[in-house]
Amino acid sequence: MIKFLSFRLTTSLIALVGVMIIVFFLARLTGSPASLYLPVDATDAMIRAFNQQNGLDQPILVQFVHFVGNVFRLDFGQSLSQQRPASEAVLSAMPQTLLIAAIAMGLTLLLSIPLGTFAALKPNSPLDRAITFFSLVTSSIPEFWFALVCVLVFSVNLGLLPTSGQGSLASWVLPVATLMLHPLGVLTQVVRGAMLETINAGYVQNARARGYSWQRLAFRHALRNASLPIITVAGDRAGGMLNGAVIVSAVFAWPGIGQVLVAAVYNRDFAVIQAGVFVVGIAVILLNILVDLIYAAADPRIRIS
Amino acid sequence: MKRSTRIFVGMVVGAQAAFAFATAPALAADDSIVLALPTEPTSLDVCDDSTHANSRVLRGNVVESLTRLDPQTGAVQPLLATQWSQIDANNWRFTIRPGVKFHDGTPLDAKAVAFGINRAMDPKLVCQTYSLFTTKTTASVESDMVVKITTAAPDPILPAHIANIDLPSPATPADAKSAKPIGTGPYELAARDIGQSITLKAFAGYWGKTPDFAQATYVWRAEPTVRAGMVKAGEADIALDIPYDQTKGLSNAQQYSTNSVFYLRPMLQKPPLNDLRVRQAVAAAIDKQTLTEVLMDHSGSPTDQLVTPLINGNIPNYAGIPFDTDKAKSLLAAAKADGVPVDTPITLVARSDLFSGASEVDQAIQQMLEDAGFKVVLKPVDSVAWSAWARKPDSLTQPVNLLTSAHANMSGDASLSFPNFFTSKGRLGVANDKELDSQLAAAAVAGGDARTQAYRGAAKRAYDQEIVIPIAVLDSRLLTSAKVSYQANGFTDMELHLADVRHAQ
Amino acid sequence: MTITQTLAPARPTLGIRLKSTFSTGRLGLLMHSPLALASALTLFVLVLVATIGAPFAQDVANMQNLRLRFFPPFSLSHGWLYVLGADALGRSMLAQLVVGARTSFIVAGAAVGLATIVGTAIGLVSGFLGGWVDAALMRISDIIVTVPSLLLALAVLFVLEPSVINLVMVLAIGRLPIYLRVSRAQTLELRERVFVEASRAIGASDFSIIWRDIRPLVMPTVLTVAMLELAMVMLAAAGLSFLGVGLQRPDVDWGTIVSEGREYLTRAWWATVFPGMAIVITALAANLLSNWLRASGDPLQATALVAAPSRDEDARK
Repeated sequence: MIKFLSFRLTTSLIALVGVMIIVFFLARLTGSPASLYLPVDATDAMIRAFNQQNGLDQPILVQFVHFVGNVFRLDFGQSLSQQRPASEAVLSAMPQTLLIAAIAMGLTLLLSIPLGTFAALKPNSPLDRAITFFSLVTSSIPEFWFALVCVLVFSVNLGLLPTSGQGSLASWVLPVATLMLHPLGVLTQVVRGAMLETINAGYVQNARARGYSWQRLAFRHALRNASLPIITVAGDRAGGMLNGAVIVSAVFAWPGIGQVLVAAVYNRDFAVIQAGVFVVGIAVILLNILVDLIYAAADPRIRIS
Repeated sequence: MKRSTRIFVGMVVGAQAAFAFATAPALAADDSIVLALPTEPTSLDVCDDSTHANSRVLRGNVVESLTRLDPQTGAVQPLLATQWSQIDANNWRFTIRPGVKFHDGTPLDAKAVAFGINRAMDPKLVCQTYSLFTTKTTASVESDMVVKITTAAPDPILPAHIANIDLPSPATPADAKSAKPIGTGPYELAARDIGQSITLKAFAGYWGKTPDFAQATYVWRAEPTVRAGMVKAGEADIALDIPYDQTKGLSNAQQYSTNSVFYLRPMLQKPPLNDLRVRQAVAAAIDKQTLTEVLMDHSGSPTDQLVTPLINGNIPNYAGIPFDTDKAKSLLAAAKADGVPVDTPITLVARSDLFSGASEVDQAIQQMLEDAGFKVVLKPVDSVAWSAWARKPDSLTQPVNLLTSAHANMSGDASLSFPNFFTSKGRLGVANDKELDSQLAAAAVAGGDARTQAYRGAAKRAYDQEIVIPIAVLDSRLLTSAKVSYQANGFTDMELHLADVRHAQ
Repeated sequence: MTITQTLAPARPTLGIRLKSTFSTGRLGLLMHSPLALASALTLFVLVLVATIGAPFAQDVANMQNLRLRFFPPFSLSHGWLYVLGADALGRSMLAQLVVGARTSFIVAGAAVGLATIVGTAIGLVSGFLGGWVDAALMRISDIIVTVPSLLLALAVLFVLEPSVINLVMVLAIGRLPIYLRVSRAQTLELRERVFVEASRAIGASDFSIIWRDIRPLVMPTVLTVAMLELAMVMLAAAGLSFLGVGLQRPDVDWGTIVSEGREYLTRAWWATVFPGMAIVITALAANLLSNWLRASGDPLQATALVAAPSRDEDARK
């Protein structure tokens, strides 16, 4: 176990280094911040002064070496647009992201597992059709469209929920719903598919022949064996939630790493992009380790080594 | 099943605890207002407050300048200076208003004013306001309450120019940008939640009239639907930049001019746009009337000039080339007959964030040009990519193009407009016309009526050469809640003075 | 899916038994499943429209008529072209949808295809070989998950030109990890099975075990995911359009149309609802068909296909 964890952590850190290298250069491909932070008619001298102040005047490789040196001290530099350290900007947003991702993922699992299982128990029944239809529709509506229509319907017309921002409990409803929209549909489908597969496997059929009830079989045995694809997809979607919630932050101005990263990308705030990706990277690494541990717990045939 | 139930309960409890933490001030109290704006300021430093995002929050609210311009007439009015006089061509004397205090309690005196002006003019600080001054401007203390301002070259309209420099408390670092603006305005910065909101509260020691609302909270909402929804749902009291169709039929909507002109800039150093007839054909091919009336839903009015009547360089009753597709075709044919390669594809550099609906307007312009016989390739860009097409030196090496751009000038004077676009040294221009250069150089040092005439003369020459092809003066809209009464004016887009927001009767 | 896939090594006898039924009976089965048939027909028509209709509609779709700005749908007063209304520039919604169909299918198909092939290949190798290879490949997947697709899209848009190919690349890279994970997870499980041991005992190479024994069993799940992803990718493209880094005019896909129309939600619902519905319908059809294909491809699930229990029993015999 400890061997596994240390192995995973070392390889993951190597991956993180790779990410940071990619992001460093990718960010600088998106153009110079000088054209954004200075007036359109800025003089050459102003541009030079700006670049010098922000260390952008040096050759990119020198900048990179400098950056790497600072990262080891966990110093990501100063945010251009926020006038505070980039790491502070990112870390202050992370709890919100973790929280909403956990809530959305928890609710998604709570809903999709029963829905998918019931659908799989009676394939092609009206219930299955209804669940399949529902899950396919939710997973194929554009998120931003759903979010905007919800704002118009629930906030403007009905006055039930706040339009945006983060305040009362009610303000969480629409962002969480938007975040759940696609994962819910997809996971319900995955649960249904995986359950169908295991339910039809020989041993379940055998058990059924011996008179075990469907429900008992489904939730006791089949679900456990069907869990691999479910965990995989849930893990993937959870990673997406950590990284993104981009639409949610764009529409609802929801605070979180998604908003910070989007703003940083648009504002060419390289320091924040790098710090953000670093922190998200660590979160994703931990999530992946967690997913692997859950794999092992769910399926004894998988050895952790 | 038991296990999962327990997990569920745990989760709910956790979530509730989190909600309790996250609960922010719910409904705004009676003496406070909420404003929904599209973008957060990129800097809260006083010397950066000449961009829309920054100035909307800061100017006239947190910080003030020596003078201010009248939103209706553009005339210079006293603000932190009570009077001023010109000593000689390069020197001015400003008398400072007595009894004014900064939010930190420091009294406003000549020393503080000189500090603020010299700080903004420090090239090493790289301030947004710095580039508004074409000539080196310095301030020095003459007596306790009198400050002398010196310009390297004569600046006949310095009292108007100086309205751009807002004055920070002397406690502000001189050599670094500050995120804590301390000014003399009716409101002081109370709280900032980066990415979420900025809260201002009324400053008890304000020298002028106490504003109606004790607190104002700005929130940033990128989607216009959400901004409008906030006012409709009673969450916000003022929402800016609302598209026409979301204000239709609403009595609480106001339309106001942004004094911003949407224009095309032809790349006139490369064929075929180096030929005047081809540029005239571009102008004739664009149906400004239809663009503004139908596509922009009247949120703009056709114009043939780069500046609005607020600016002295505006030529009264000037008319450019009228819309006439046949004329455009014949101009193109004439150019073609002379060997001008009119079939060269022209890139239409389309910046979609210029105004709401800009990308549709760009597509319509593309079609209008193609109807007249041009070959036009649409190139959508964001502001950073746009900059490489717009600014020298990069702009000179780009392939032949029509650049979409918008220009706002609220200073009343053309010196902040024409030199930049029309002269050979102009950062945003691609023209190279010696006569125009000298006309504008002469205008810059002229005063009074001679200045106005000189700028109008230069403008006429530039328009006749189609150095820029102005299309529309842009309007914007705002929504107000039933709680407030606010009259939008020509400056609203740049400066939304909270002191002008009153309790609704 | 091919017949070989039904020859699942885990249950070879059954596979062989069913092989004869399948080669003749696949279409027959489709005929008996009205939902699957309808889905197949819908997709067929959509693809037909996209391939044959789009070239004809191209010019019409770009034809602006400002007098018809937001012309409402379900009226033939300006001809059948405007039966679905007009957009902000007075362009025919119908023609836009037809042209958008082609782009959407090309983008989604290419991105999903690319991601499926590359992702599954990596996942199979990774899961089967394990050890350092697995660790390295999985970490690549972690990298991809961690780099924000918005940043990737913006960088690509900025450095290269915004085009269909670049959009496909961005989307494919972003969706690669899911195939990698799914196929790896299944491979991890399958490589412990008896038939793999058996193949190894008779001296089969790693490649041949992966290709012949494991891949056929992994593919159904991967294809299910791929079918689901088809709509996901269309939506991801729409999301990028919403953020301003998706396809740019004159290229247009359904997602771009939804995104452009969102500003007029209260005024012209048809500008977003029709393209949105096009995505939903495609997703529904693709998914229903994929469910059916998977079920019919899997001999044990084939039982579930025919509604009547008695025939169910017959089919099994």
